[in-house]
Amino acid sequence: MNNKRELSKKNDEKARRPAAWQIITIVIFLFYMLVPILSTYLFSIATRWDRSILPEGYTLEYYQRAFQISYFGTTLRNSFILSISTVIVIILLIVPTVYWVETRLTSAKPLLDVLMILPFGIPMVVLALSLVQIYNFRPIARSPFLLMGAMVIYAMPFMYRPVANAPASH
Amino acid sequence: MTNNAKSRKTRAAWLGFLPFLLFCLIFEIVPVLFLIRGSFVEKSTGQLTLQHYIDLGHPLYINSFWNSIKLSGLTALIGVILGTLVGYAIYRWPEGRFRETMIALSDVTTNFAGAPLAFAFVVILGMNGVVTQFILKYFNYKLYPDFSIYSFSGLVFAYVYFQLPLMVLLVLPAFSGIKKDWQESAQGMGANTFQFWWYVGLPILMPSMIAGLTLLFANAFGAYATAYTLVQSKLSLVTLQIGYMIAGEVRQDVGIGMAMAVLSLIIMSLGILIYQLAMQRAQRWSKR
Repeated sequence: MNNKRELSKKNDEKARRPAAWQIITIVIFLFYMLVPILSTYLFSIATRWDRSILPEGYTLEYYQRAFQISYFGTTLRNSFILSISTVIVIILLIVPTVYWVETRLTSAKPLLDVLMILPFGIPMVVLALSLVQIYNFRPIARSPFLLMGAMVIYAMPFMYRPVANAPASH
Repeated sequence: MTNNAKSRKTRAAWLGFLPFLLFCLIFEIVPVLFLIRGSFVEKSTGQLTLQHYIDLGHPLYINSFWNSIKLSGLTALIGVILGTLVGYAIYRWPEGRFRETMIALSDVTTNFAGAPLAFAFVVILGMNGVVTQFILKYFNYKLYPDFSIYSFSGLVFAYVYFQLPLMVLLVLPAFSGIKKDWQESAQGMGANTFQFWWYVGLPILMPSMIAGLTLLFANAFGAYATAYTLVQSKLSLVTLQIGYMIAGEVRQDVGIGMAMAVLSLIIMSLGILIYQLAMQRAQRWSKR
């Protein structure tokens, strides 16, 4: 009995500080994760950076130029509108459905679960190919609404899981 | 309530499920069913045919499937091994806030895939990339032309970038299934760390690792934008080939694209099936 208590104590003391291998592993992990992002940022404010370890000079001219090009503003705006509309549609579609199934239609829960895992089994290009083939008539052919529909399909599992787990954990 | 009244109520309740069901039918189920049917139909004549699947025997398509499987399998394996290590390092970190920060970081980086990621890796490992120059300057070693970011190995680096955090997120809950006192009991019985992991830890982790392998495989198999930005026509991958069919860049019948798509669906469904089964086993441990 005493042995176990001593072991516990020793392990607790060891657990208060991270081990050396932990620190090394996490540092390498952080390096791998952050260097691409930081490099992209540094590249955007560098005058020239193709022959040295650090940029040769710093400038904000690329940001200036980017905002001056008219289609950059358009594409930024389009992306925002698309993303926000997708989220709104998902909220309007998923939250009431989850509530409904949880309270009034429990027999549909397995179907809901399957429908929520289905997007992971359909590669995005496959869905794109099928959507383009079947909806090739005038108003919706290659329209933003088609794109938004596809985006909702792929984003809805991420809304479903937190919302479905919330009532279950209470 | 009588049975009739109850079943009437349930049937009426299905009306509430209808909007969502309709949405899924329109944007997901019906298109895929049409795709499956279309892969067996010769577009110009409307006749049923297996020709599209026979055409898949062309080396170009066999290559693309083989490349995709190789790439997905390799990055999944690397992601699972490294992800488990990193996940364990994070799990055993004493401070809770640090763990949450790492989880948030993993959430962000695993979704960073795509053209921006490809560009970031060009900045780092491109011909004049930062890391390329660093290795040249301090280790006197020329990466190019033997290595290129615009190749299979380059893609591996980029893919592992978002595969690793995905595994970390997946494996963290699994560690809570390995109770701390088991480790202490094992120590008390004279087992060293390796023996503990070999006989107790790894078997408990195994379902999560299998789930990780399949999820990461599916994740890499379906990836498109990263591959398109880095390799385009230099390396044939299934998703790229299907993408070319959509854009109409291939003179051939789109039926081949549909056959490829159906084949991909089969591969992915197998993956998801294994993933679901593995996750159910995994949750048996973490829910105790």
